[in-house]
Amino acid sequence: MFFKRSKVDKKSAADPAAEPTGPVETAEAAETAVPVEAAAATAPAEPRLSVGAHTNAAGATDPASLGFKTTADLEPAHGPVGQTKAMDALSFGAGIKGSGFHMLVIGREGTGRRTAARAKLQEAGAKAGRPADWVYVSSFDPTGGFRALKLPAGTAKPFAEKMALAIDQLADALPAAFAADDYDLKRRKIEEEFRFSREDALEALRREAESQNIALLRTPAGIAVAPVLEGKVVKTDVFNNLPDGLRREVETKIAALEAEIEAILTERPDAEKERRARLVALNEQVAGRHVRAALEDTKAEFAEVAGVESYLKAAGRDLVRNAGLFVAPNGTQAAKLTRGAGTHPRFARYAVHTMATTSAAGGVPIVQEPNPTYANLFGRVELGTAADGEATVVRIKPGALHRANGGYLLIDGDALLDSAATAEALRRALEAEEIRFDPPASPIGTVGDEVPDLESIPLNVKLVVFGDAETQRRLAASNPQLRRMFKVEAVFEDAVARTKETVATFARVVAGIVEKHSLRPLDVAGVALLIDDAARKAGGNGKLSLGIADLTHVCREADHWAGSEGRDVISGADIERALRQRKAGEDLAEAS
Amino acid sequence: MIAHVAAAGERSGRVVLWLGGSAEASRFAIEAAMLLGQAFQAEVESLYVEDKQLFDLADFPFARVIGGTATGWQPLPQIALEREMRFAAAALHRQVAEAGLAASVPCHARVVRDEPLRALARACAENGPWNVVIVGEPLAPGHEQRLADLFERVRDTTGAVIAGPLAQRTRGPVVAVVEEFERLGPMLKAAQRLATATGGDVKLTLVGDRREELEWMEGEARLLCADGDDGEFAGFESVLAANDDPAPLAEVLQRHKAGFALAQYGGRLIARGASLRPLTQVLACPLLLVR
Repeated sequence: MFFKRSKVDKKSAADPAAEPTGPVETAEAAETAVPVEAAAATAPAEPRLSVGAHTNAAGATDPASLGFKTTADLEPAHGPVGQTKAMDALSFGAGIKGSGFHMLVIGREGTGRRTAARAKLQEAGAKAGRPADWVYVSSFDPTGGFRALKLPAGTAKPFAEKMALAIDQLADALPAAFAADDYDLKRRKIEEEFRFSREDALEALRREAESQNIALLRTPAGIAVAPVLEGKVVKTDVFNNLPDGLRREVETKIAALEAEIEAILTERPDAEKERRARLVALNEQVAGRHVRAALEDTKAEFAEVAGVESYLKAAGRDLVRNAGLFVAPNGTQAAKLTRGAGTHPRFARYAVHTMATTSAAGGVPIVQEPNPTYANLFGRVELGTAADGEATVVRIKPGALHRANGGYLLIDGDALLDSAATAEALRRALEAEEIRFDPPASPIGTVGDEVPDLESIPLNVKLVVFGDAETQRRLAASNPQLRRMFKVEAVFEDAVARTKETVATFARVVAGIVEKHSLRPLDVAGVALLIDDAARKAGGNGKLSLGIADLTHVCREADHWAGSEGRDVISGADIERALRQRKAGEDLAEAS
Repeated sequence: MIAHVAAAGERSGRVVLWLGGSAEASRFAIEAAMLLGQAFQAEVESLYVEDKQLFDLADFPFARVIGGTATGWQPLPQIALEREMRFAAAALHRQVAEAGLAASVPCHARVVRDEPLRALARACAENGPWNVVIVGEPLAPGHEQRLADLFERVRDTTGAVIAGPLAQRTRGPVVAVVEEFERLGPMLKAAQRLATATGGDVKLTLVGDRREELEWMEGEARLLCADGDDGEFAGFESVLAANDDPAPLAEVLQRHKAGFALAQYGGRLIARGASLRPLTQVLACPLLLVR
């Protein structure tokens, strides 16, 4: 700790008349009282207990007046003692419909504000319907961005699984389809038709040349042109004996034919274009059949969901166009990718990234984010490198905002304010009511700074921020706009007035701690000691301190001592011992 | 005719694999040579013919050659031509030798410089009693004259095997297309021998242009097959076809996914000098054309 807090009430500590008080109702307690007194001699004086509900004349709690033997006799309570205003505020904030009613829960650490808030949120959230699921899918456009798809509650995972299954099926079916005799024959026919058309042109040229006593000859290296006479290539000596004019004429004809041959072999853009178009059409015909079959189930199941049909159409078109992904470049079957092919990086563009989904248990999500960084709130994009060296999105991880969408997001105010940029991004998201992925830095910095374009997701979340008075001050100073967004404030008091009702509730809260942590029941003397301790911590002014965390700690420690001595019930002596241990620990902390 | 030779049980003959002209040889033509070698216990002679006329051309100062991918015209001096041919022949012979080793068929290689058909005719005349020529280069639509010349000038061959540009198999049924009854027996026997190598059965296709003629021929064929030892025989089929129309033959071969086929050259389906285009567009297996 950087700052030490005095555990004593300064007013009481200054009173020389103040006497250490402590229950000595049992023999065991009496025996262990000496060290407490000895400690008190060196420590600041404990505040005197005032007379009040269930106390004796000295202000100590009278166990006999509490009306039970052990906490097993009590109805456990999990809420805080008192805190009526805070609880009313929480009820209002949790239950009010519509956006904008974010909650600021103020109180000291250990007052049970988180537990109380969560209980209220659960109560209100259980009555609400499950929010929709959200997934990101590729937009299949040149931007390489992602569309957000809204799916019925609980269907994001089945949708993602069905798409992965479709890719698995295609990883099986497409290589087989492209390796089939039927496809191979059709492809080769197209190639041969192209070749034949070239051969036809060459044949026509050959006939034309023949009429001029010139032959087109095939050599191992290609086509050559030669002067012929009666079907035989003219010998050079015969050719050289021809008149100059005739020789030049033959050479001119040969040069002209060579130009035509070259034109046939090279300048056929239309034919080449047609060949490519026909090959593409064939590929689409073969792949299209399998792609349609693979997506059929998903299409049928999600036909009614807006946006799914257009996504499946785009995915189908892209799968057909990129059927080569499933087949090795030389046309042979790619490395066998069957089970789990849907998650292979090669097929990352077809992955469905689940951003928000709810369980069948019902209710709205209540998400606590202990470390509210930008990535933890808004999610992160993991990039990889594709085979062509391009950056590709491997995974989109949801943030707490995605998971809490439609419900409540609980975060620690101080942790949020540690990053002003994140707090501001959160404010903008709440104000715009949308989750826009716009990180201050690259997602993870693996491949450049490319951030894919992710469509914004509508945001409907109630933010619940926990803090204390200092947090309130920091928030107002650093981000007043965000501060103003908290229309509901639940302020948890440090202490409540000691009344019969609060004492009874206190005992039930102890019973609740016993139940929650599966401890042995406390006897009434032990509970009385805890009440006195709470009264002392509150300053001895007729109030009870509400440190639930501290109370839990003492109960658990006392349970350990009772267990070590083989007892089934935590006694006053065990509580006394645990309180003494705690005091010693506090003294040690003070000294350091 | 090879069918006759096979049926008569005469001494083994020879398969002449005709290479040269271009650097290209069909893998299926080489496989067909090996299948014939296996079926008829024949040896394969890989004959690479260096076209003598090309050397006459190479004597000219203006002799040039352009590749199929049109990378531009290159001079064609004698020395370059000789080197190209030597390398092409060596590569093809090695390919044939490897196939022969795999098929356990004895292979011999020879390079001759001559006019191609004359070289082929001489090679077939030197040896006997029968030769079958395998045309190594894939069949092209404009090869009808070349094929006609082959049957005309190479008298000592009993037939020629062609492989189309769309060839894709040499395994499976052997389809024997019979147009004349007197050829039925020998062609059936030859098909049965071939079927032992291709691993398929025999599909007998009777072709005629009159229904009565076909019915009569089918009846006779059934009698013939019933009398003989025709264990691998699988079935008959009768096809009505007009003259000079290879389409019915093409359809039969496609339907049966034949691994090898036999047909008559100069008959009803493949007339002498007729266009080979319909055949080249569908022929997926080697086709043995008998005289």
